[in-house]
Amino acid sequence: MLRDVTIGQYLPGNSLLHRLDPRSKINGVLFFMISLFVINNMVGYWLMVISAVGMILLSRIPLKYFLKGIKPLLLIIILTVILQALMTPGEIIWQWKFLHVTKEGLIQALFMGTRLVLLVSITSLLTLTTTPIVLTEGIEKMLNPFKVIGVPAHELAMMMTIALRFIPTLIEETDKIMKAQAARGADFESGNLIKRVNALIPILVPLFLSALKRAEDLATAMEARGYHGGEGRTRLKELHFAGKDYGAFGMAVILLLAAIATRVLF
Amino acid sequence: MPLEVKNVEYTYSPNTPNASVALKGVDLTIDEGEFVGIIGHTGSGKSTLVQLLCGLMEPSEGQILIDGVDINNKETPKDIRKKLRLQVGMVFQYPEHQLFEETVLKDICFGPKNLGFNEEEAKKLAKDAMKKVGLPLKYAEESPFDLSGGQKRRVAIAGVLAMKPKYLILDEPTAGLDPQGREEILAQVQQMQKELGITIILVSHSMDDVARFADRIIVMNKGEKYLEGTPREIFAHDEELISLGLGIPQVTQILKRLQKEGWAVRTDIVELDAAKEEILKAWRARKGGNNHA
Ligand SMILES: Nc1ncnc2c1ncn2[C@@H]1O[C@H](COP(=O)(O)OP(=O)(O)OP(=O)(O)O)[C@@H](O)[C@H]1O
Ligand SMILES: [Mg+2]
Repeated sequence: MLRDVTIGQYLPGNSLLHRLDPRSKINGVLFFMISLFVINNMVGYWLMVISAVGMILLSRIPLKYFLKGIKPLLLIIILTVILQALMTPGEIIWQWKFLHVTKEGLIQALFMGTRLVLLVSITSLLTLTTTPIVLTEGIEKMLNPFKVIGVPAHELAMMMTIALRFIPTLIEETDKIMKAQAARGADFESGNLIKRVNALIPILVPLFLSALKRAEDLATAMEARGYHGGEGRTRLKELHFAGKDYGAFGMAVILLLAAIATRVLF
Repeated sequence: MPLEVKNVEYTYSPNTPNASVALKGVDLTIDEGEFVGIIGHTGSGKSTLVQLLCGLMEPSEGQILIDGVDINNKETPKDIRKKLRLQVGMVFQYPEHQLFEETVLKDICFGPKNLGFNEEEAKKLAKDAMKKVGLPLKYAEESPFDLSGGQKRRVAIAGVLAMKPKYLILDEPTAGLDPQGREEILAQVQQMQKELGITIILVSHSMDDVARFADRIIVMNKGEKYLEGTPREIFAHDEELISLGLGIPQVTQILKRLQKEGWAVRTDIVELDAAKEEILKAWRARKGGNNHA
């Protein structure tokens, strides 16, 4: 059912990764991603795989959550891998009509697959160990320096927070409206394209109306409680860097340096 | 022919960490022409049960039979199952959220058109339905979004009635309405049952409403059918009902209180008029007694 959709799912826990400052984690993910694109040989890939597995173990999150994150992207990953295998020129090891797989292609495909899986896993790791609210707060803080060039950091973060908060509500609402219209005999599954698009109107109109109403109510409620933008706003829980955050930062830098080293040395 | 629920179980999001069992081992039969009330604490599975009854969800276990046919049996042709399902009309909690057309009349026509009626027939059905829910025809060409809450609710109910259901399920149809609006809507629902012979299933949190209108009451608790019987039978279990977080009708409460204070009244009465009679009888008896002394 629609409800089973999970976006940016957070899994409560108390591991070291859960307790890190969100900025350290975002920073760590950025460094990891850069490293992923720096490496270009087997040693480099082993480095990345081992450090990703290490972090996953550290988070104490069951592996199945990462597999669940990869599942929706499986088709894209497989397609990329196949294309890589078929399109790379080099020493041919298998041939059928005009299709041929090369040794280089196979290695490239393996690298590309690993890269994508690591990319998805590491972003999942971030959202699995950080609540959306804290995550957006971290993003806001990191964007703050860019305010001088006109980046509306607070507003962006607030928009993200609200959007994340209302995704489940909207999904629930869609579910309800679909059921109500189905009870009136609406049919969403049969007919040609035009018919199917038309069948969406009885869902979309009530959905937009209630979303707009909700937005209006929310704005009123926020104003009534004295919200006036980011200026001078204080927080219930202040973010602060602790020893472990400096440690994490150090590790991220070391990882990047190591990645560069594998490229240069091997 | 009746509506039957046979040993039905329902689990939301099965095989996931947040699976939740909403119904287990529910058995019941609803006969044609009956007015059945369903009560139960929040989360007891009432809405789940009625959504299964009209085929919006499939039970995880067990069967739902309409006129003796299992509506979820894949061997029965799809269009037959759909036809059966559409004999059960469903009015959701806050049904006004399903309005989408430009005019009231068009919105009410949505259901009949889906049933295959042409423009003319649909309009006729829609107008009949408007009359039945007490919505003046002058609203036919207005936008449903400009109406008041109570009127929107009536448009939504008319939208379901226009499909001429044999069974009509109302899931808390009066939530958020003022007392007068509630009274009117429920009285009209009862009239439909009496005059048109439509079977009514009313889910409600108001003990007074089900006591007054229902022929039979089903009490749900934690996904199971807990009690079943006439209002008098059900509200005799006052202590159990209170322990389930429910209550008993106000008139029954008053009679119980009077009995406690030493008045000779019966306490198995749930209707206002009958209670009035009972109290007057006791009052006269006491006055009569005093005169003799
Ligand atoms: N869409 C859903 N997904 C997951 N669980 C649900 C869903 N809908 C209901 N539930 C759960 O199923 C149980 C029964 O819910 P249901 O809506 O049937 O209760 P109810 O008796 O109608 O309550 P209320 O009086 O509040 O309307 C509850 O525990 C609820 O949390
Ligand atoms: Mg309910």
